[in-house]
Formats: sequence, structure tokens, C-alpha cells
Amino acid sequence: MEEKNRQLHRLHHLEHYLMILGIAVGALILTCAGLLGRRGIYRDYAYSYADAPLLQLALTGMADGVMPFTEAEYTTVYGDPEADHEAGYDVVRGEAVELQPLFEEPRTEAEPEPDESDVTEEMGEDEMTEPEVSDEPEEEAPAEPEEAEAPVEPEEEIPAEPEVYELEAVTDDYFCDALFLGDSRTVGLSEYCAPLDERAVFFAKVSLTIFTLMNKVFIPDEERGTINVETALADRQYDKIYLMIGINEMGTGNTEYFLNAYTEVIEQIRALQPDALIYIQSIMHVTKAKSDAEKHINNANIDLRNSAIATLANDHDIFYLNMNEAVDDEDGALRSELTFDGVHLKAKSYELWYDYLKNHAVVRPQDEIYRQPEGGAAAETEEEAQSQGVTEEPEETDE
Amino acid sequence: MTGFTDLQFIFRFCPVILGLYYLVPAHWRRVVLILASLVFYGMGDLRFLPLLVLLMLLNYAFSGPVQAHRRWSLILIVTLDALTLIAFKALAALWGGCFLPIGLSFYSFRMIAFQADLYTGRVKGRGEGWTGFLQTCLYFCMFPQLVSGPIARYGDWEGMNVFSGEEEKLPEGERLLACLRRIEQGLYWFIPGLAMKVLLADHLAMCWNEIGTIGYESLSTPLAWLGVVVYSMDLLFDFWGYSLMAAGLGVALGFPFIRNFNYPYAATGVSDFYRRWHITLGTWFRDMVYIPLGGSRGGLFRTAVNLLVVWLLTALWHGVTLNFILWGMLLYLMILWEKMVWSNTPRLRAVIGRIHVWLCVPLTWIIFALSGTSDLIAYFRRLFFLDAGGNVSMTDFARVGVPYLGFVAVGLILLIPDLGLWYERHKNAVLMKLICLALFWASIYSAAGQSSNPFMYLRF
Repeated sequence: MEEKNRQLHRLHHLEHYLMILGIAVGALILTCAGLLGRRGIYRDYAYSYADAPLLQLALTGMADGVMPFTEAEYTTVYGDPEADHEAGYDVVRGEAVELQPLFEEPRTEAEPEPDESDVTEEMGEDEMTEPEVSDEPEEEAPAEPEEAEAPVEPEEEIPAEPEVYELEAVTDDYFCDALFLGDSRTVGLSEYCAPLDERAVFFAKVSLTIFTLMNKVFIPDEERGTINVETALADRQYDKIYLMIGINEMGTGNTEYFLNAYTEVIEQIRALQPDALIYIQSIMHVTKAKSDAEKHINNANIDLRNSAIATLANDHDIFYLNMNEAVDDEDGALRSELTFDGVHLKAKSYELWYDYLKNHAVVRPQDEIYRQPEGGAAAETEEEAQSQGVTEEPEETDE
Repeated sequence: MTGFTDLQFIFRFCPVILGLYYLVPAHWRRVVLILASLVFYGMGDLRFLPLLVLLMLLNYAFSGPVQAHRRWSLILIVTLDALTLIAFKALAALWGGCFLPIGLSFYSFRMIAFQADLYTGRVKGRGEGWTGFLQTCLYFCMFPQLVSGPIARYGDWEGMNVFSGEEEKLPEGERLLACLRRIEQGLYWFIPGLAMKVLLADHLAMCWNEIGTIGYESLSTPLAWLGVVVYSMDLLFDFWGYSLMAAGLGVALGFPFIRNFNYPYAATGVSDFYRRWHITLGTWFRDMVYIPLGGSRGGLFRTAVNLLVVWLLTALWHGVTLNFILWGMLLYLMILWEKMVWSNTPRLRAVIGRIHVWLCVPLTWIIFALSGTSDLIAYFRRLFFLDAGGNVSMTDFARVGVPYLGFVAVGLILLIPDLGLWYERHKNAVLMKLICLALFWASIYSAAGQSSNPFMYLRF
């Protein structure tokens, strides 16, 4: 009897240690999850015992929607270098492999509903984990054009003597039938460049990456609620399409991996918009301070990726615009007075970007009316454009 | 491992240290804690660990004569402590922050307070022999309070029994439970602090960062005002949360709870506000500067001068730039204004006091935040619809402000003192403990996301 009372007494006291128990048990479970997942579902996550306790791994996985103690199917993607080309970015999360085409995202049930709240989550999956392809990330030279999977513009489609355009100055109305695609930097452009926002269409979203650009559902549509860029591009033809994307994925994959994704996006856009001029804008630099402090988001890596995507231009209907000329200092970094966080332009700095676009436009016959009158900005820009080497030779594949 | 929200700290450092601390015999606990504190400091910034150790030993060496009321010993050691702080502050002002040893502002203040309290007899004595040496060193370097306070006083530790060995008389099982109870009591404070910091302050900081990204000259006026609220609350909950975590760790180690914040926005005026905000710093300045200068006993003029000295020093302690001096002087003027002009008309004084606390104090935090004069001018121009040469978009409130209104609302609710009192009354209830547990794991989940994702704050 006495023994029983004492036991009851002990049990009663359990509530005095409830928090410590809850923490200990939770930590134990998550540590086990991390330990098991390290060789299983989380094996592609960058993790080292020295940097964080094991439960960090499980928590990171959960943030990505990869729940502990779940099964995931594997094929040995990384053991096979040739497979890297085929592997979609979902490989990053140890989920599906052999995604073809790259962007159909056969996600598992773990994929969160596309809404505002998954903005950071999206960031998470792009940044927190690195596929092994990034183990030797940016040191290697940009991918040789031969390796770029497909030619951007198959030769047979190029007219016998393609007209090669040069970049000239245009009026505001040039952008009336333009579309801007991009991440938060383009969001800023639409927010703080009224003349452009009044005329052009913007499909831009914070944390967008080249991997999510086409399929992320974020564009409001009257009939269908929200749609993705692919659907929106099928709906309506645009005359000019500007892209500025690539800063969020600096920590994901290597240059080749990025270029492949970029190439596919350009191909998709070209297929949906056969007559549009495509402007590939360089990824804007970050400040020197930011660049020096960052492992991935630094200007050396940005330059590698920029020179890779520059090879996609053909100077016929795909152009590369090195907009960094408008915002760089002598070190080739974003001028520090133009920004607060070292990455985004301040509201009043967007004008520089817009001026650059206005002075570096292709005037096709149908755009003649938008040409800036001779003299003034136009004359100056032509000279500039040539000295910049914006009009690189089109890169072709040997196929 | 730099802060209490680091998973390395919570899940590796703390369990190991707490385990060791409670496993060794009670008279060894001080040694464990001192070593743990030095390791903690070394992991934060190894370069300045020798400075901490040197100051600890010097202050101990001087404490004997000071205890014996040797006036020159007191003057010498206090001057040395103060000069060390001033020298590093000056270096930091000239060459940037990397030359400021972590926590120097706090541990040098503890050292000065220690000597002064010994000299004036506010504490009975520093303790004798080996125990006294260990207790003194522990006071200087105890890890929960080493980096950002609170600035506990040596006298606060009187009557502690964690080192006395009383528990050792208990049977084995009971002894273990007694230790666990201490840790559980620490969690009462640590968890709300963690949640305040990670779930609330860190999100408010994201909003403040987005406001900076736009550029202060280009803010719409509504967003500029929201920024005042957001930054004020970010600062409060960041520091209050930190202080609660520090106090909770102290309690878990068997030390008394130290209150560093007491619902400052419930204050009746600016002077009351600063009796409720960073209490241990305010108390330090009161005991070490204001009262030795004569306090308010020397007539109105003398009081005004003494207050001026206190606020000038408070401003410089926070940083050696113009904006901090401006911040301190404005607060000083408001306190004078309350004290000298309105003290005879209590009703009006109450109204003026509330306006100061709810409107003027948040505005002073903007001065506190922005060290660039042009930024400061631009921000204040935008607050009052004046053009600041920027590129204003009227939709910025919807884009940057609205997503954070939920956090602002939670923050506003937490300003109400009754809520905290209610928590303190019911913190033993099982339901409250479950809520705390949920908050703990939510905070850990969020902290894990932030640490593994360095871009959390920079959502491009």
C-alpha cells in the first residue's frame, strides 16, 4: 500500500518536469530522425556534425517537406556523371529523379500549396541543400557551349542571312508590349519604375528561381485564379521578353547546372512566343562588402554564370544585356550607395536600370516609331553598346 | 556558437554543461561553470579571451584592498576598468566594430559595480580564500550574462544554496529531481524569451530590413510610421527575449531570477520608462553615477546637471556616434521637461507622460537605429510627408507592411503587463507547460530554418 502511494506520488510529480521531458523526448526523436535520415532521405543534404546537432538535419528536411521516417526512392544519380544532366532539381531534396523535361516538377505530396506563405520555404529548398554537383561549384569554367544541351536556336530556323541588330536608344513606349520576368529585383523594378510599370507587364515574384520560373503558380488570372508563367505565355504574345533571374539559386548547383536550366527556359519561352525578342539580362552584381562575405552569392560566381548565359544570345532574336554596367563601381561590384542590403537596388536607384534598358534596345522594323530621335542619348548609346561587346557572336553547337 | 538561439548552444552546450554541473559535488560547480564560461567566450571570440582573464585576475587582486576600504585601490582599479572600456570603444569608433571585445561593455560594468559595492559595503564581502576567488571570477564571467547582460550585482547572489551542498544530504533520486526542478524552473523563463526573440523579434527585423532596402528617402509616410512601431518592438522583444533567456539559464543553474524589463510601454513617463527598460543598466547608472554625484538632493540645478552626466554616459555606452548622443540628449530633455515643468500638475503630467512613452520614445528609437545623418533626416522628412529626394511608391505599405501586421499585433498584445502577470501566476499549470513546449519547438523549427538558410533575411 505504502509502495503504491509512493508510486502515485512520483507519477503526480511528473508534471513538474513536463517541459524538460518534452524537450528531451523531442530532441531524442529528432536526433534519431537525423541519424537515420543521414544515410537515407537526407543523405544529399549538406551537413557536418561539427556545425550543428543532428536534429538540425531533420528540422531542415521537415522545412522542405521531407518528413522524418518516411521512405524515399532513390536511384544513384550522383554516382553517374552523365545522369546529372537529366536530373531535375528535385534531386536536391532527395525525391524524384530523372525529371524530363526538367521543369515538370513531379513533386510528392510534400509540395506545399503555392501561396504567399511558401515563399521562404521555397527559398529553403533552393538554398539549404546542395546537391553534390555543387561540391566543386563555381571554380570550374563556365560550361562549354557544346555541353549546353541544346542549341537555343536550331539552325534550320535561322534565316539564311539573319539580320543582326544593334542596341539603340528608344522611347518609353517601346516597353508597351514588353514582359518582364524575374525575382525580387524585378519586383522592385515594377514597384519603383512608374514609366515602365504603366506600360509593361510584370511576372515577377520574390524568391523566384530559374528552376521555378515557368511552373510556379503566382500570376493572378480572372478566370483561373492564379496561373503559372507557362500558361500566361500561352495566353498572349509579347513583343519583348526581359529576364533577370539567378540570384536566389547562387547556392544551388554549379554553373553548368544553372545554364542547362536557363537554356530550357529560353527554349520553352521561344516555343511559346515565336516572335518575341528575348532579352537575357545579366544577373545584377552584389556590393563588394556583400561579395566578400558570401560563400555563394559573390560577384565571381555571378560573373561565371553571367558569361554562361551570355552564350545563349544570338543577336538575332535573343540578346544579352549586361546591365551591371549601369550600377557597377570600379571593382565590378554593385555601387554601395545604390543599395541598403547589398543585393537590391534602393527605390531611387531603379532609374539607372531603366535608363540602361532604354538605351540598349533592339529596334526591329515594327519598333521604328519608338526609336529615339538622332543625337542625344541615341548617338551616345550606340558607341557604348559596341564598346561593351554586348553583341557577341552567336554561339552555335556542332550539331 | 554565438547566441542562445543557436541550436549548438541549446542542444549541445547546455545539456553537457548542465549535466556536468549537477553531477559534480556542489563545491566543484563553480569551477565547472567558470570553465564552461571561458569555453563559451572563447568560441565566440578567442582573440579577447586573454583580456577577460587578465581583467578578472586584476579585479580579484584589487578586491582585497578595496574590501579593506583602501580608497586608492578603488580609484585605481575602477579607472583601469573604465579606461579599458573607453579605449576599446574609441578603437571601435575609429576602425570599425571588429576591435570591440564581445561583452566588454557588460563585464567591465560588472567589475566596476563589484569594486564599488565592496568598498561601500553594499555586499558583505567577496568571500574568503579559494571559494571567494571562485565566486568572484564566476561573477565576472558567468556565461549566461557574459555577452549582453543583464548586469547582475554581486549582492544578488547572497543566499544562494546551489553551491552549499544542502542537496547532497538528500537521497540519490530526490537529488536528481531537485536538479531537474531547477532546470524546469529555468525553462519557465528561457522558453518565452526564446519565442520572443525567434518568433517575434526576428520577423520584425525582417520587416525593418525590407524598409531599409527601399531606402528611407523613398518610404511612403504610412510605411515610415509602421517602421517606427516595427523597429521599436523589434528592439524591445529582441533584448527582452535575450534577457529572459539569460535569466532563465541563470535560474536553471540555481541563480536568482533577474528582471531586466518590466513592461516599459506601460510606463507613465520617460523616467519611468527607463526604470522599466534594461533595468540592470539603469540601476547601475543610478548607483554608480547619479547617487555618488549627489542624486536629486542638491537642488533643481544640481539634479539637472547630474542627470545630464548620466544620460551623456548612457548615450556613449551605447555607441560613440552622433546619433546616440542625440538620442540620449532628447531623452534627457524629455525627462527634465517631465520633472521640472509638469510635476506640479499631475493630470497634465500623466497625459504628457503617455505621449512621451507612446510617441516620442518610439521616435527616439529611430534616432538610435540610424547612425547616418542623411538617413535620419530623410526618415524624419518622410514621417511628416516631406519630400526627401526619393522615389516613393504608395503601394509599399501593402507590399512590405501588411505581411507583418500579424507580428505587430502580437507584439502590441505582449506590451500589456497583465498578460505577463497572468503567465507568472499560471506557469505551473499543465496546459501552460504544454503551450510553452509548443512554443519551444516552434522556435527551434524557426531557428533551424534561419541558421541553415543564411538568406532568410534576404529574400530576393
